[in-house]
Amino acid sequence: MTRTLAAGLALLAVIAGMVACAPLLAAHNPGQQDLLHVLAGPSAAHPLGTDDLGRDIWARLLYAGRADLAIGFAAVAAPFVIGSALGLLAGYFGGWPDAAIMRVLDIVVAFPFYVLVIAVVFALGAGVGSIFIAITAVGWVSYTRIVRGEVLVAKRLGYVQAARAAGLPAWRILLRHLAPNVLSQAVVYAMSDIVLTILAVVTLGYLGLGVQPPAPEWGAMMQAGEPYLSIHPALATAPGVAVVVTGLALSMIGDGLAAGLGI
Amino acid sequence: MRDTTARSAEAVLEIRDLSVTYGGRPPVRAVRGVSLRLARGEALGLVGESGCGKSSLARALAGLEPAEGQVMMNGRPLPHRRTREQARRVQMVFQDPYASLNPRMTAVQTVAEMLRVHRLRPKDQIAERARELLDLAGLPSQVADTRPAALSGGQRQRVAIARALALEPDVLVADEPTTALDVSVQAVILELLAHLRETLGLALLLITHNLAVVSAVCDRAAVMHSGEIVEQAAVPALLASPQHPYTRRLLAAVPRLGPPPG
Amino acid sequence: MAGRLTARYVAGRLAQLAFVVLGVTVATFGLLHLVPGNPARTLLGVHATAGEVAYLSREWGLTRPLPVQYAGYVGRLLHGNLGTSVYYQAPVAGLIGHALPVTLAMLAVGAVFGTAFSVPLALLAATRPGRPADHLVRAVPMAGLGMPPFWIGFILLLVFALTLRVLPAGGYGSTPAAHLESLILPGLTVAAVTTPVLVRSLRLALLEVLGGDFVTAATARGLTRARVLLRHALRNTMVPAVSVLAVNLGYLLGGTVVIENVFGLPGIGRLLLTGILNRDFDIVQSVTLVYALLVVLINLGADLAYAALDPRVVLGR
Ligand SMILES: Nc1ncnc2c1ncn2[C@@H]1O[C@H](COP(=O)(O)OP(=O)(O)OP(=O)(O)O)[C@@H](O)[C@H]1O
Ligand SMILES: [Mg+2]
Repeated sequence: MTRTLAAGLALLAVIAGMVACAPLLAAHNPGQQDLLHVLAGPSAAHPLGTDDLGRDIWARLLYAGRADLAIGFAAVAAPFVIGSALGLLAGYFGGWPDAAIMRVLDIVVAFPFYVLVIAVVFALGAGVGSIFIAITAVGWVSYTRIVRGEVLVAKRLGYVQAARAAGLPAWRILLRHLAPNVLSQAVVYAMSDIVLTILAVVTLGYLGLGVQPPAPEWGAMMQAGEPYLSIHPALATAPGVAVVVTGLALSMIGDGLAAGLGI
Repeated sequence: MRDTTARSAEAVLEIRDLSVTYGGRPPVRAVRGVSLRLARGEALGLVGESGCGKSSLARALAGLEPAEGQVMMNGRPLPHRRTREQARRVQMVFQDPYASLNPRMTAVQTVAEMLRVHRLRPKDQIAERARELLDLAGLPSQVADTRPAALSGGQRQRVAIARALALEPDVLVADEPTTALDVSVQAVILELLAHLRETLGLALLLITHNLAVVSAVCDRAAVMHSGEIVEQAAVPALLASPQHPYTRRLLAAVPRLGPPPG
Repeated sequence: MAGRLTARYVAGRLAQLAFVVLGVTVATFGLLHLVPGNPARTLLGVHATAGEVAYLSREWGLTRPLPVQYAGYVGRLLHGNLGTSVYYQAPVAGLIGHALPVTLAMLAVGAVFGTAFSVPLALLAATRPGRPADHLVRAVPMAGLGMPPFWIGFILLLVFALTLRVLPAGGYGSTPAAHLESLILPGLTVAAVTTPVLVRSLRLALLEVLGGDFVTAATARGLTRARVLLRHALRNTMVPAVSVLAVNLGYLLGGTVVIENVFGLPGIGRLLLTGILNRDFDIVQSVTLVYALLVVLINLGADLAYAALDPRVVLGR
């Protein structure tokens, strides 16, 4: 295990531990307003001060982390599964299934990532369900590309050839022989994809298309804090720093994993 | 096991006018109208220089490559798309033992999978049979439950041979099974193949570019050149009086190899 | 300059382009039908009366079979009709026509800054592999990729516009000089998004080239090390760097949507977001289409240039 990987895992563990223990670490309810103490600076009662509605920023930060981490990790699952499955099919069967999958892929990658995600969320209506659908619709392509490339190499190897010569059914060759051996690259990519996905969730939140207020979410907090950037920057920068630290932890894990696998 | 007494003189495998063409620009005709017969229990050597189409022919026989022409197994056509039962008639051992085993499966699992999918044994006897086959292939029983990464090249090739034998094929195609192995192990693996052929009555198609290997293991040999069989004969005859100029050149390249004694 | 740029290659690439563009229009057409509810209501916005909705449904044949509607959509596009904004009460084509140059200008400024940052960083790292400088530079992509683009914009805004007050906080100004001034911070943000990707690939490519024979040969011919680095190594690195950018174009371009929003730049990204806020469907649909066309065309350009500049020609002496 590389040092980068270890450091990233440790950092992520700290973040995950903190957001998991949010009720213990925060003295206030993240939704509790105190209109007499809006935009207050740090104090003993409010370590990071309060926002424009007098809510405790520290508490909101921790609870928002729950939403962002949970959605980020969960939203990678469907693209991973669907994309890898399509990559396996395209690479193994070749021919028209390959051509069809790759042509659809060409079309999806023609759209800038955020533009397509934003457009789909717009069409479906803001909210967490739409985020999942949009990220799945756009995110599968990377997994398909990676896995397909690996399959094209692996299917020429003796163990796959032997399985074919033995008349093993295609699904068995795909699941038992190819999948376990070609998915490691996809898993590594998934780590960096989680970063991109969390950033996308935060960005959608910032644009008002993600988790809907008053539920706390880092992007939405940054949007709410934007007007106060000059007089009370903590509103926008506190969640920003949280995003950056989380992103750094996940990037370090992805980098460390890649280095460990010699990629 | 199989009935190996009947029809032992008949052709177990007969291919007629087999051609393999790879698509591309321009298309490569790797095998051009090859006809061969393989009798039950016979060992046929297939020799020829690199790129002459030996592996392509082998892959077509194993149903891994679409081919024109006919493959007859025990008098019945064996198509490119095979039923599970048809598929197990021809099994292959590949050149590179480092790529021929699934890295995630132990030796026993690799062999047992074949038995299970083909329902060759009742469920509760599969593991025992797999160990028996590995033993037959000379794999030390201590390593039967290890994954390929922990096995030597020779040991891996033994697992690959056991995997092929598990399906009780009529024909075993070994595509340069020793080329990637340490010299000290090559002879042992060849002996194993020769031994299995005798005891199991397997027909063996042994592909090599080494005439010494052919003379040690095979009854007959076919010489391939640019996708065609240019000569085939019993091994002693071929070595003593090669007819085709290409065979003569091939022989001249191995000066130490005289006609075998006796 | 022979390269692979044959008529056959160009024809094949154009055929692929035509197919992708067709697929892209199918996707943007489908967007309307992804929206739950009556498509006419979607098109007209929430303030339309029931009569207007019924009129549009009839007029646009929104009750006809989808293939017929799609054909109508493509027909409209071919006449340059990108729809009408309900909010601005103006043709979308005109709105995009005004906004697109702003976005392109921001990208150009970003590309200049991005190159200015990435090249020295990559050189620094690649000439000292394994040393502290290398480690530091390699940390750049890791840190940079973990930041949302708009966050970098926030920081720049906070420092240069709100604290130091040396640059405008937003808008686009009205004179060319003001335009340029307004583009500095957005351009820096774009550069901050591109630099991690660029540094990573430039560094790897440089390492490969520096280990290659011809650099050794050039040094042997008596060229100074600096000259070799700049004239040969770097030149040979631009091809892979540009293709990496092209591959990541979709991600990078998408990031600009949010950047325009942070700085209030009136580009197509901002147009897209105001379209979303106002539920102005035609704007969303057509801007999405324009973004895709932008990606497709830039990729085509990169591919053709790559084919024309046979890497070996550049990689040679
Ligand atoms: N999948 C393929 N696609 C296209 N051409 C191929 C393919 N496999 C083999 N060929 C070509 O077919 C010809 C015969 O190849 P083949 O592997 O059958 O030769 P070989 O006699 O086994 O050679 P070697 O001794 O090197 O293993 C060669 O020219 C090779 O380049
Ligand atoms: Mg071969």
